[in-house]
Amino acid sequence: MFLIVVGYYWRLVLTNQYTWLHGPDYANQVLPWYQFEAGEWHSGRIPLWDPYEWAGQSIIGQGQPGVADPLNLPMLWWPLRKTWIAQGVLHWFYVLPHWIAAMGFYALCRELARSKIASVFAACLYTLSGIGASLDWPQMNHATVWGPIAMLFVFRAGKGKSILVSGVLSGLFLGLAWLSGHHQIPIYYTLTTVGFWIHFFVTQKHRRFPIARAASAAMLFMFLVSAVQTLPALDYGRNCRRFAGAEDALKWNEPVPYYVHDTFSMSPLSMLGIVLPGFDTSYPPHIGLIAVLLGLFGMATTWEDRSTRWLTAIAAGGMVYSLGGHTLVQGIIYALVPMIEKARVPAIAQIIFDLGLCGLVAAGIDQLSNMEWRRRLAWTFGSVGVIIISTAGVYTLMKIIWPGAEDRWMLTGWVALACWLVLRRQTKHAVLWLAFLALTEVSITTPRGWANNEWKPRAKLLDDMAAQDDIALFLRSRPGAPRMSFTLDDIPYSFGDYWGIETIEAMVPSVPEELWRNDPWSSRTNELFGVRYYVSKKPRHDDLKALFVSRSGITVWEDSAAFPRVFTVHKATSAKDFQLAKQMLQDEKIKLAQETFVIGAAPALETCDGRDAARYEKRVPNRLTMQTDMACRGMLIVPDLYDHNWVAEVDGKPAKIHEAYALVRGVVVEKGHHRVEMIYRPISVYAGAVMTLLGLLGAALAAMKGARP
Amino acid sequence: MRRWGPPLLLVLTIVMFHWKLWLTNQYTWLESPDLTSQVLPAYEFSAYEIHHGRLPLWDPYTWGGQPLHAGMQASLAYPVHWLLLAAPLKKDSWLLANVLNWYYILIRCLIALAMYAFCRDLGRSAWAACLAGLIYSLGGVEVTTDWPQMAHATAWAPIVFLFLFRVLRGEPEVRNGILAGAALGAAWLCGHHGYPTIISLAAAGLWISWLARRQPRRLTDLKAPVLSFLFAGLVGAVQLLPTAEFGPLARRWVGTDEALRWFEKIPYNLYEPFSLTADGMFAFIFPYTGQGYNPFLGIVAIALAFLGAALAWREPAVRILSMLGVGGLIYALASYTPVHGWLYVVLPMVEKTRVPMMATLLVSVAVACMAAYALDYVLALTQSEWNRRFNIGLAAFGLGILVLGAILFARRADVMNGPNTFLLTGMYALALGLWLAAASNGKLTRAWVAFCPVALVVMELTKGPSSGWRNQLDHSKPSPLAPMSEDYKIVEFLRSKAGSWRVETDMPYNFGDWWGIEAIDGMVAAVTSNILDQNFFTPRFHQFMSVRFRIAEKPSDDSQKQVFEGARGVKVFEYPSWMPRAWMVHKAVVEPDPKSMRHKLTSPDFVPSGQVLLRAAPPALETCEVPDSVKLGRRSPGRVEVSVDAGCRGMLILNDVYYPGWRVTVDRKAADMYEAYGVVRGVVVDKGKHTVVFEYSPWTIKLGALLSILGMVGAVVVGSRKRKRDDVNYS
Repeated sequence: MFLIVVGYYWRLVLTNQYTWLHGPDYANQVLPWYQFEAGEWHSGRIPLWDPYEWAGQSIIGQGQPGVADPLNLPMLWWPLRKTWIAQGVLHWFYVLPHWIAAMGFYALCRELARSKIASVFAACLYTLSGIGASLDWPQMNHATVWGPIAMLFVFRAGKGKSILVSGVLSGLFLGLAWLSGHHQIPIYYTLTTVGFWIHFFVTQKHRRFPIARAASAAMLFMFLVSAVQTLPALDYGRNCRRFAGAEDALKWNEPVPYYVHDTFSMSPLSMLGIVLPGFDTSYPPHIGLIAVLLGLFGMATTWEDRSTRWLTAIAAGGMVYSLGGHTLVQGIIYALVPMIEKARVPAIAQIIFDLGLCGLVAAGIDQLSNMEWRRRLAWTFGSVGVIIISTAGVYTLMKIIWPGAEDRWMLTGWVALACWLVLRRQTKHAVLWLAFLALTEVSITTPRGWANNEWKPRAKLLDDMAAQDDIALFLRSRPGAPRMSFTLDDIPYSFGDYWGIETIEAMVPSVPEELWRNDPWSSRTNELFGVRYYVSKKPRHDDLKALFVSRSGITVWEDSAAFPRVFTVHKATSAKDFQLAKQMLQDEKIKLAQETFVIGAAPALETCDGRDAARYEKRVPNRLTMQTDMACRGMLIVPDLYDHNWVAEVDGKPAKIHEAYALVRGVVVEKGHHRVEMIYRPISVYAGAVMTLLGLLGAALAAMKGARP
Repeated sequence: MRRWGPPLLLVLTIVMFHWKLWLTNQYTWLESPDLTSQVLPAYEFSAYEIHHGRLPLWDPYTWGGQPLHAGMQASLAYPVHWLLLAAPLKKDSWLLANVLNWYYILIRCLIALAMYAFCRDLGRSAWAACLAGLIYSLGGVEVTTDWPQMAHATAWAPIVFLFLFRVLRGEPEVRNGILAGAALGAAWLCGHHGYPTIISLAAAGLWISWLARRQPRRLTDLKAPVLSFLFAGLVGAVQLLPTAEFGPLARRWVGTDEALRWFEKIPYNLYEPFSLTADGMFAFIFPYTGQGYNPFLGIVAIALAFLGAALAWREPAVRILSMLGVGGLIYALASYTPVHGWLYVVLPMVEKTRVPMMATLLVSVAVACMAAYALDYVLALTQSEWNRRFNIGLAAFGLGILVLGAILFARRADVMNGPNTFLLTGMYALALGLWLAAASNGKLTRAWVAFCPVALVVMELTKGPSSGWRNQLDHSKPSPLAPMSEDYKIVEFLRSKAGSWRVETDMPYNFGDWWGIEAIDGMVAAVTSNILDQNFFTPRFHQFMSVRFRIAEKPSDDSQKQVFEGARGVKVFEYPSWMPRAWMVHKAVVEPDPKSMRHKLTSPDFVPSGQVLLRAAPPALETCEVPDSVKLGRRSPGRVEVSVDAGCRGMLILNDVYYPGWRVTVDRKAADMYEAYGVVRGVVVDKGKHTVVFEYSPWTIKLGALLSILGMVGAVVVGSRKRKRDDVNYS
């Protein structure tokens, strides 16, 4: 399977001509995250706080950067090339999880008593085709790795084998899926397993208690194992706004409106895309004609087998759910089950369909010896092949609008005819031929669409990013700790993470609430945050001075009104609530450089004639060290975004961090010279890590117990 | 449980089907023009009145006052509607959105249960009856008519047919005829004549068919149909009598340039937009969320119906249902066949039903029932050549649709919402074929055989009208409800103004009913002709009717002065002068010609406070120098009290619309009421202080209520007699 997977992805790992990173989300968002995370690991720090986006935000809390995903770690820990992640490493990082997913699916098929060859066939289809192959976001793709293994243990429990241990282990692998960083696919897997636990509980009356216990254990271990990711995500999620496709960024307690789910539902047209490439109106679900017919063949021939019915239920459930607003089911689940509304793309539930279908494919392969049904299958392939070739031929001759689709259809048609030939002959190697044809059929979708590095239009995003190194070099050469802003029209990616420069803009799916509610694009907010540089083709306002014009024609503008990156104030007032604080922040009468305000009781400060001094001693993402000389008792302001997980020490003694301006961090410092430290200490991460370790340990013990004869 | 389980499950399925309405706060069924502009305001008014202990028979907030109940569409005589009106209101007296949404679901449940009862009576299994209930409640034209006053009536069609089919299969014809008639009468209570007319026609057809088969024929055979229609009339009387009184006095907007009078036939060309077109027949199968009436039932229901017809053709009920469906289809096709035209010409009152598409209701009934037959036959593992034929047919249809969908996609065609809808239909056809194959070969347990078509029907019908409801969080699409809530500041301004006056509006909804402010206009289906026939749009007439404010984006003439601006550019303009709501006159002039009277009333040199125009002989009035004093007292929609201090005998004019149901007393003694100026109310008052009370107390409603109660009691008595279930058949 390793060879098959590597061979299938030859473009990525056996040449240096292609990359999977050409898509907007990967280039603009995912790659900068990885770049930052790798930099942190290689500097000996765990990447928990990202100062380069939106004036600082929790990176582990965002989930999608996959900080806690074990599949990310080898890539992030791999030696860097001049501080950059080597492209080859990123490509192997893409390919290897597919192989692990194949191994997991192989194990599932073997558990269902499928032959080795059938298991390999189905496992390769699962990981190299369908939605699992077209989802290039690693944070989503990695979750697909663990689903089949989780289902393996659920099925094992359903068969009455080591029920409790199976429950624990299914929870373990579901938990690993949750560690991948994106919640969508883990939610779908969790729903699937819960559905089966309920089914077993209802139908297996004689062992209801063991099943209930195993199901509870599964949920408990899922929670424990995933805690290092889910707890920080919960902590962050409750204090952020999410860009989910609704009109406005959503708060935690605001459900994603159903019209968003409707938009991201699999369209019926895309269902055709399961068989034929080109109908990609939502997420490309192409798994191929061979898989579909073999799956139906497997279903029809092994219907008496209970695992076939289970797999059919999985496939049907996944299909119906992914149709979202086109059927009733997903809507009811959306409305009834809490948190499901957060999974806003029902189309991705196709992964559940893929899982069921590929399981049926394995059953179908093992039934090729059933000659009567095999003959029917052969004729089905033949007739469908003729229909497809005829239709594609007519399209080509009539020049019906649809460039590029007919040739791929034609290939599907020829492959179908080849299957007809293979199945009609009593060849010993029919399965191998079918496998080859199936891989041929699916290889015309995702890998074929990757950008060739030399093909400028496709690799444009990455080229443009690389071409902006002169901007980064210029900014780094500026004194102090430069913070910049930019327009996504000119720089469509997370510039801060990619180049290691602090920004108040980024291409991310969520923004902390503190920043969002205070109008992050207003001049006063930007001045407070010390945004000294704007990088754009046109200045944001007339008071900016052009400093530098890059090769790409983008100018670096300077705002001389920007505050220093650390300063002191001696007046603090109280704001009743967030609304008033927001008004005060934008109120021109309030001199932000001289006075601050906090929500609730303001600390007592002193005014005096002397001058203060404040400077950074050390500044790394999770820890800031400052030296101050205060003329009298005042507040040291660090204009980085406030987060309750930051703690402060003044001369080694704990001090309270105030939410100065209801937005940034401030520490009260007495008269004299002091050393102030701010440290990011997220309790949710520490507690989560302990729980995850406990979960892993418990699962290991359970596995050992279950392994005993 | 065995008896009540299936209907409970049916109700639960219907409730879950409408999850958008009750499990989220993101959807409403009310966002269509008629519902928001007309129906909802009428409900608001009715509910408010009920909660204040009054029957909302008269609506003073539109068109100078109109008989709400007689206008029919407010459904005031329909008991189910009372549940909505009696439901708790918000603190500020508005109907709760949740209550309205549950009301919609309740209607769907009742429709489903009615069909369930019909199918059970036809001998169908509980599963099959549930399937029919779902098809009938969630699909067909009855679900696209989301006007409750129409939808309610569709629930009575299966009940009417239940009893008529009993008659057809030989059960006692008088008893079942009376019950069918009572059910038909209940349909007439619902508030719209469209569906009840169709159901009445179908009932008449079935009676004729029954009579034709009687051997030997006797005159006494007519007893059952006559009694049946008599009971329909009796039960429906509380609605029919007031409406019969209102109809000849009103004009109705039906799409013509001018509102039509009672005796004017709707021009035949107006039926065409509301007819089923030949290509529109695709809409039975493909989801097509166009405006208006849509008969979408889905491929699963239609295919099952055909399968049912094929498998159970020997059963007379199936043949009758087929005829019913075909009859409905032919009627709905209107001008495509001569049948509808003949009925239009020959049968009185049928022309009032201007939407022939409504007759597809009969198709829905037939399809639902025959699908139930199909399921029962498949459940019974009936081996038939038809199973194989249908398998092949469904597979061919499904694959054909997939190819068609692909072609449409390639050509970027936007037919019936593009290829997506085509493909869904194809997929469901294939899935049904798969079910039929598996069921016929005994591969499925009985539970799965029953469950699969139910699930397919429910999923397919998800693409019905509810899929087109706007998500209220999606502000990129306009909401017709939003502007209605934005006008509250205008209303606050108006309420701050003292006195009694009216407003004229240029608003897309029934402003008067919605906000409880008396308006000279409004969005209604029909209006009494005495006001509509006036030179209605002249400032003089508006002045006469005490119109003080105009609510619109622009003034209607230069004399109006802007006094307030509300949201979205809507302003309030004030007329320079307006008449009081009541005044005394001491001179009466006879003007027998209505046209001349109208002309006089709005001519610049006519002073309405100086003399009253009457059509017939005027009462004797006196003139004197002593000034009169007129003061409006306590007022509620159905009662107006006026205190008068007359200098000498004169006529008190109250400029609310004259209508026969109003009675007047002077110092608690009944007095004659005059139709002053051909439009408002007048009563003669002698010299001195008097209390004049106008009260709406129509005899038509009282008599109608009595007759309805009689009819219902009669039907209950007849229905409670033990039913004899001998061996019966349709011969």
